[in-house]
Amino acid sequence: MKGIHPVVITGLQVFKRLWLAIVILLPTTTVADDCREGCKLVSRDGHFRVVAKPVPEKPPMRDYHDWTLEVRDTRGAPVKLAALSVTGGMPGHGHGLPSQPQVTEYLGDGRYRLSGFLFNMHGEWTLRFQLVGQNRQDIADLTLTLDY
Amino acid sequence: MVCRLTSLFCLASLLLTSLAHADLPGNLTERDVRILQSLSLSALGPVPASPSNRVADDDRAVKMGRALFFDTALSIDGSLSCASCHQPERAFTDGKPLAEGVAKTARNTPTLYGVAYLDWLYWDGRRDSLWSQALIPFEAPSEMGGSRLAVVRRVLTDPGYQKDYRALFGASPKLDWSSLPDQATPIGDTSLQNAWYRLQRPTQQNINRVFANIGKTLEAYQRNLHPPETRFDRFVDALSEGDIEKADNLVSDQELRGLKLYTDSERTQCLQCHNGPLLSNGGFHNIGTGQFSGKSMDFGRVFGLQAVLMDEFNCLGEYSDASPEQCDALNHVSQDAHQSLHGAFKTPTLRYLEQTGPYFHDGRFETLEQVIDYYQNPPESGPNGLNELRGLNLTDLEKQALAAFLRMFD
Repeated sequence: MKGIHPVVITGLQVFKRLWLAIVILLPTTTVADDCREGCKLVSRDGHFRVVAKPVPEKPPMRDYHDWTLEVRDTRGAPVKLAALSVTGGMPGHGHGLPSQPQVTEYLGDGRYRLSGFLFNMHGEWTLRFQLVGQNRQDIADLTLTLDY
Repeated sequence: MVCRLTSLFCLASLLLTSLAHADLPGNLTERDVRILQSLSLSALGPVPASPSNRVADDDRAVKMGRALFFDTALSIDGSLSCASCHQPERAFTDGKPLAEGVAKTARNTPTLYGVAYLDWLYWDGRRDSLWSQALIPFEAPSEMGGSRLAVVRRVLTDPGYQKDYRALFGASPKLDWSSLPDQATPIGDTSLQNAWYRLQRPTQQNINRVFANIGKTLEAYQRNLHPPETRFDRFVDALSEGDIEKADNLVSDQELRGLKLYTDSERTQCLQCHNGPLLSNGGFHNIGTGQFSGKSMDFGRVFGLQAVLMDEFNCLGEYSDASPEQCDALNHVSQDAHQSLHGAFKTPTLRYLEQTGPYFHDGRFETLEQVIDYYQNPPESGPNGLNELRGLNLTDLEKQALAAFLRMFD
């Protein structure tokens, strides 16, 4: 019997493999209209799950406003990040964001307030959230379309 | 006419049915109506607060600011006031390609209508408030050509201004006029700069404080320069009220064709930058008009950004009345090095074009038709080749229709 070991897959391993499959199959860029219901994102390397939501629900045109970001790990536990930043722009027009949003408050339970968002054109915008955890970092991309 | 009535009928029906959330007929959509309404003055909210200026909405400041706006004694030779370039009868512009003060400047004079709604002032956004903007022309060598010390002296030694100033800001700081030079400023002529830097810092601060307060009264006055209602606004209001006959009398077939082109994001993309009730998104865009060499060199926003960050009169500076968290625009200003700020200029309003030409930051175009031709064939190579414009494919009749529609905003 030496060297022969039965392969036993535990429940946890099944979960991990399923999760890996889901992460691989899911697109890493989430496309949404205006995120008024909250956009659910999976970070590119699968380290974080993110829910991004503008405040107010419909992003106002030409007005500074906030977003909230809820960050969880692969097990669904809230994540207290070491750093969080946002970049973005309008790829179709070749320019970046007209403002520089930044984290202004940690709301607890993996939730963050980001202030200083400004959209001044209708059309397709991209947002990239750069997430730096205690042991790993990742990015989550969002494409949203603002219409009248 | 049938076409026009049909379009109007569709538009009005559309509005009424859209309110009822029913399916919309014809080639116009619920979205078209929302776009038209978003461009109307009816969608313009109240004048936003100006937290860096505690007298922004004080009637006494409005009165003092109005007097200062028209006062030629504040210029170096006593011949120029703010109103010399911002002429009320020309929608607060001057009709010249480039503004002319003591000498010819490098930029076209923008209208002041609706200026209270802007986050950034000047074509390159070098100032973040109307009051800090109002200070520059006093000292610009090609504009009023004077200095902050002369302006402060004029205000604090004139009995009328002195009384108004004290009522608004309390006792003015003690300045020993007999020991101070006639002129002193940290910008402009070298001799005036030397005079400024020979002053003690507390004296400089006292002068700056009064100078800033003078700008704040000028802001108070200019906050009341509300954009006048135009035929377009009355047209949209009539549609909103379902008054087809009234709307019909306010628009021509040609203007309706121009309207459809303006809102057609596939054909023109006008709305990308010229949106909202002021027909401006307030942003900075490179449309290929920067000057990167020669005596007219103008890089636009890339230097305006550095200037506003360094400005001692900005929202975060010691002369501002705002708490730091109230300075949204400055706190969140984009400093993205990858953003194409080179040759980017602020999107101007398209209202009152008949009165505000010539057009563009350097007044290079005399007519609206020339402007549309530029958008039809923007530069595709050379230093201005990398711009945000994609070119248009409009027929001559379409270009005329677009121009006719834009003249509805006069």
